[in-house]
Amino acid sequence: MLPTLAPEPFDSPDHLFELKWGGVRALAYVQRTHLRLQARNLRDLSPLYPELAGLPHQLRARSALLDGEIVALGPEGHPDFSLQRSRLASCLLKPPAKRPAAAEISYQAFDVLFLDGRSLLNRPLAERKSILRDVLEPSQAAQVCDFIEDEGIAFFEAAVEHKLEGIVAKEKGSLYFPARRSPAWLEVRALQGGEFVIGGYTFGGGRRRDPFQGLLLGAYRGGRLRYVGQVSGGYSDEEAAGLAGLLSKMHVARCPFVEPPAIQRFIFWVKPQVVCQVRFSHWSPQGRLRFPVFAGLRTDVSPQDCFAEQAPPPPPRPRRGPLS
Amino acid sequence: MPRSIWKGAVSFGMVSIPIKLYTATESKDVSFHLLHSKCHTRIKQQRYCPACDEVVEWNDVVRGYEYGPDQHVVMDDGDFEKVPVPSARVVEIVQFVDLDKVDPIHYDRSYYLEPDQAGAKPFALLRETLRRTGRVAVAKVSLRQKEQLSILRPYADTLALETMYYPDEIRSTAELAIPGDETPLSDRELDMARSLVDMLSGEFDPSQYQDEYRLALLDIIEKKAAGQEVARPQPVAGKVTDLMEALRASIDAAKKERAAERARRPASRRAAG
Repeated sequence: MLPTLAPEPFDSPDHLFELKWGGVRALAYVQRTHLRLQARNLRDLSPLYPELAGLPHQLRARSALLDGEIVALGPEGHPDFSLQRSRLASCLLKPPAKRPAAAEISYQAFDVLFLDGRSLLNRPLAERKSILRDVLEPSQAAQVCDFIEDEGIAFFEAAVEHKLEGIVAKEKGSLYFPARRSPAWLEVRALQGGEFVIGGYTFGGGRRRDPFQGLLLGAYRGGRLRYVGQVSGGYSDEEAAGLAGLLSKMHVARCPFVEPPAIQRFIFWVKPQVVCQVRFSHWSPQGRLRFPVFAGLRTDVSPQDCFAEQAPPPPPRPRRGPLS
Repeated sequence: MPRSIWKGAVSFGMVSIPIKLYTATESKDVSFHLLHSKCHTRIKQQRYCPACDEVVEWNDVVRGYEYGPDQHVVMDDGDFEKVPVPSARVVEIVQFVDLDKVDPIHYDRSYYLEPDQAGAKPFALLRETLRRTGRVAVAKVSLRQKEQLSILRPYADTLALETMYYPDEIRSTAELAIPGDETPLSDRELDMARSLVDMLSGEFDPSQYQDEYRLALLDIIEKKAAGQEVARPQPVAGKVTDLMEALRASIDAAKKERAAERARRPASRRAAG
């Protein structure tokens, strides 16, 4: 279940508020002592996170399906996606020569969907949270995600102050809708960032002997892949070399975007299969990313999940109950 | 003690049994008030005349019967009083029939009868006779200015009055698309359908049915009223907990700051004004 975007934070007694962790969203399938961490694109992430292998032992049940986020914390105790970057990239690229800085990995569980064979999808969120609290014994590696009640605005401001990505507001009475983007969960972003599909790359130019000049990014709107901008910075030399090698094996003859970008450079088109994380300043009125910076490969996200939100939809007010 | 809605007498032949009527059923549908979303006050209905552009009070409202497009015959209270209503306060039995000859489609509302002290014996006699003969009484009763056709039958330990629709108030099925009796049905199909019906057959026990929707709705309402205390997770010492504590501290600090602001502002306004 995925959130829809809200343009502004709000206070509400009917919602609880969690941090937008900016980590890797993963379902945790636990069967006795066996754990499988599954990404949004269904990839098995368990081999990438040996630190979390002990999760099944924290469960006071024989089997469960938890929903949560794999968070990497930096030295100051803040979530930092870049600390997970090389792990994710290693699914497609060779691991870097230099070992990345050790990151403190923790699984923040924020939902429980199945427990000992019973489905909890039709129970309201408040009840699922209670059950989760009773069933997961916390440890450094895996905990039940904490939340705030009522004070969405103050929480968001505090998150911005601490340079965090934003917050997610969830309706206390909401049910769980697998694989759906639902307004029962609302995401308020502090920083602009997103996941985009690599549809091609430009070649040549640049001061160094760069394997490519820039990556051409796209996102889906209305079922078609639209070009949203070119990113030419944010990756290390090693990442760039690895990407070039990967993309050179994915050439296609036709432009995968609905409209080819007007770029006066030599372009190689690739199959739109690789997704990357990008930070950017804002959307231009023409629907392009302004000042984008590459922030890592998202081997845990499928291309279809990259959608172009031109502008967050008009403010959905916290929903009221049915008038009868 | 429930309140009776009607007082009168059951009469047939030379017999007259003084009785009271009580409604037999109540709907337990969850009902809601309509409130203004901004202040949650109950909204008031007003009647509005678009031609005169004014709010109309009840004493300026009359009833009109539409006999043609936008053409009305206006009735006043005097007109209604001219309709001959047979002597009120009587449940007049006109016939006795077998219960299973009356189709349930006729039934409208149900009422219970309770005899006055003086009528206790004839009431018991009528009840027992109806039980033994397996018959019910067809009666006419004037409830609410209208003469109702009704059935009087033994129910539980009393007599129930079922008001009925008149035959011309019951719609015909002629205009519906119903497959006719000549629809070809094979013996196998009939046998299979029959065995399905047999499988699900049993004694009718209404107590095994509950209004699930109403119960679920009431549950939600109760939880909302209780403010829905959501259990907070147990904290574990570590960076994530520290982060959340830092955020909570920021929230509390911001709340105190805002409260202090509000306390200061009126003073400065007073000084300026």
